[in-house]
Amino acid sequence: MTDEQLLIDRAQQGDREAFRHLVERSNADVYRLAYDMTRNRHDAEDLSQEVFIRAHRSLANFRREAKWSTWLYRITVNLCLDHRDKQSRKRMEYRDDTGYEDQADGSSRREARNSGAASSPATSSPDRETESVMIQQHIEQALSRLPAQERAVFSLRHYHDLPLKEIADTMNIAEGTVKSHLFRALQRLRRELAFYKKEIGPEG
Amino acid sequence: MMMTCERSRELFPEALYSELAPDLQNEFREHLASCLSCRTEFEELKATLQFMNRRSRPQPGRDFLESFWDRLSARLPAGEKIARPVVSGGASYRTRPARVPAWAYGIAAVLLIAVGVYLGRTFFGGPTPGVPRNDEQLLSAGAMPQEDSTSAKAVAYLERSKNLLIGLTNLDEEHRSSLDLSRNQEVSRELIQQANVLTVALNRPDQQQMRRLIQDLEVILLQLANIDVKPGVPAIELVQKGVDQRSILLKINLEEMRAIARRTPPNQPKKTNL
Repeated sequence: MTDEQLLIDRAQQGDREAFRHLVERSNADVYRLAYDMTRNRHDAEDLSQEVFIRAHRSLANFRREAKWSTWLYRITVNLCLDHRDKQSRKRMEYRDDTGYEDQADGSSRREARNSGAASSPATSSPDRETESVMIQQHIEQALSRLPAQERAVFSLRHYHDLPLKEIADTMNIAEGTVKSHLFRALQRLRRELAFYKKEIGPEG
Repeated sequence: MMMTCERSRELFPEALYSELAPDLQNEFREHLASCLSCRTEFEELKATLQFMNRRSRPQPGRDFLESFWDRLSARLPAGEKIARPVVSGGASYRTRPARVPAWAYGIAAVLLIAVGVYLGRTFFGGPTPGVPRNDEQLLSAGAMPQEDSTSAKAVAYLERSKNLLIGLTNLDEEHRSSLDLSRNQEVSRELIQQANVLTVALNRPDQQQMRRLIQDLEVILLQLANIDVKPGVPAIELVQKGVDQRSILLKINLEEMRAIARRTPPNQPKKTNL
């Protein structure tokens, strides 16, 4: 029995500490997925809490053969899609909030600097920084423009490393639909980021 | 037949994430090699994905993570149960005290005791209504001193467990394959259920030895109950080993246990006819 299964067994028996450990090992991943889907930091925080409240409520239904993370992602996707529907009803025009600028600790800017430094050794340091921040913004924008389902599929496959079959289970859709969502998402991203074509093009 | 462009493009998502079925890989590669349009598109998508790896994923703030459990915990329904020991061992985890108000522990303790008393009475035939429970009342009413019922149940429990384990530990290679393990497992499960009630009921200082033995036994019985039912599996050896390691059978000295069961509980007047 794995450590995770042991914790799940205990949590199912009502052990709150075990549940706490399960929460603490997965809340950051749930947050990132919620963020990718909502594009809003505050919504992602609120929804992450909601995910674990739902998980706790339906813990008895969790089957051992399922994967804990996949199960949580399923709850997350459902909650985020519901949330989006509610928001759309509230506001006809749904404004994306990349949340990128409002990061209090500036960690993304720091990471942006680091990731930028690795790729453009020829440019000078301030230029590299500006360029890297710009790239981050463009990537976020490109993601924001994806329809919610496509973004969910892309995030689960690309950033959460879920195989296509598991994404189909997570989102309760056919595997063929997952593939077509993913394909369309990739094509859109390619178009959105065409500006960088020279930099990211097949040959360099 | 050569793969069509349409078919090849259908396979892009799998191919880009290395999920393409092995039997399609050659055909897919051959198509790309011979079709400039598909090859260009595929390479561009691949490069786009590489570019997406440069994204700095938004990290949850430290405050958010640090206060996550406290905020969540406040919204979860109360009613923490005490975790039962888990046998299959090996894995352990660090525990931290949950922030539960002191009064909640009080209520939980009262509830647990109430449940324990209820189960004890239900499963082990507590006093019938109207019969005085207090032993002093028994004596003053001139009733004969009786064997303490919880201890007597514990002795019966230990005897039954001992018989079960002796049967298993004495099982030789030859008879292992013909063993009907499911019957033993059924008995184990029944005993484990009784153990839950007994360990709660055995609360006097002089009953602690019995309590410890029952807890030790529970570990072995759980192992036995969880074995996959396949004749002759080495899992039986595991149970046998567990029994040996704990010297459990030697510890179950039934005569001694019976003596404890007959002994007057410490807070009662000494019975004269023992």
